Amino acid sequence: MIKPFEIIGTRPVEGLGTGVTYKVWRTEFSKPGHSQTLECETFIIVPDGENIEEYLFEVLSKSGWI
Amino acid sequence: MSEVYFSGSNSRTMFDRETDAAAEVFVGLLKVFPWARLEDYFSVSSPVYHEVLRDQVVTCCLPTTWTRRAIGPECILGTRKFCLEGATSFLRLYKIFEKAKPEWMPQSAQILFEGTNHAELMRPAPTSIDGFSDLYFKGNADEIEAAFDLPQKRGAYETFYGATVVNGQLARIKQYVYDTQGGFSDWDVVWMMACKHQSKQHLLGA
Repeated sequence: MIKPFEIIGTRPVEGLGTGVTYKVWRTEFSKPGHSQTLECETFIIVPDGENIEEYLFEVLSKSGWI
Repeated sequence: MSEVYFSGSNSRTMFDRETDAAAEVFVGLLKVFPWARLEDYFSVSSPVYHEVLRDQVVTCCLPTTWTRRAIGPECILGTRKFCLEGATSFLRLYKIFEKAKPEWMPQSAQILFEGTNHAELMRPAPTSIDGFSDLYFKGNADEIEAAFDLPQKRGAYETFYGATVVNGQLARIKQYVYDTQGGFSDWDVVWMMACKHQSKQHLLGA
């Protein structure tokens, strides 16, 4: 299963859920023959009861990263 | 137009993403896959009937930087294949071929790459993708056409071949025809460079 992000680490965040540190990247062809790759490492809290990967995927999809 | 392949009565053309043809294909693609983005790919193919998937498939080529980041440096190329009627998609990843040559391959055939199929998180994939893969090879055109009962189709610049293998059995042969040099036309050069970059020089003398 290929995933468009890499989970670096997780830790519980009391009362909120699971804190997830992850990396995400995307490459775009801004103009003919020119591409740029953007990668960021960031953090998100996944609420209790949510599947971490699915939650992350939905957030990143809605934000336009993937 | 950067590449054409023939498989029986089916043929597929690959277009650079900046072309009107690519944009036109993508209009149709978005009707089934609204999440797809043209700017994510450097090439887009015409839809072609895939004999194993039994669906119309559009192939979009991913930037090498994305594929190597997502998969690893051993991956030479990645494409995303969109199956239009089933509304499914999957990744096809291309790596240097390092296994034994199948017995049914002609003597002159040298297999350069193997393409394998992979599902993506949260993207429905066809159920059959684990059952087949493709071998990409070069060789003597006369021998290959005779061995597989292929029509004579040869590019003025280069000709390469792809074999789709289903559960170990040959299912189809694709003839890739290049009349001029372009981004896809030098499989042998890409293979040689990849072998060097991946410290697989032992394959160069095979």
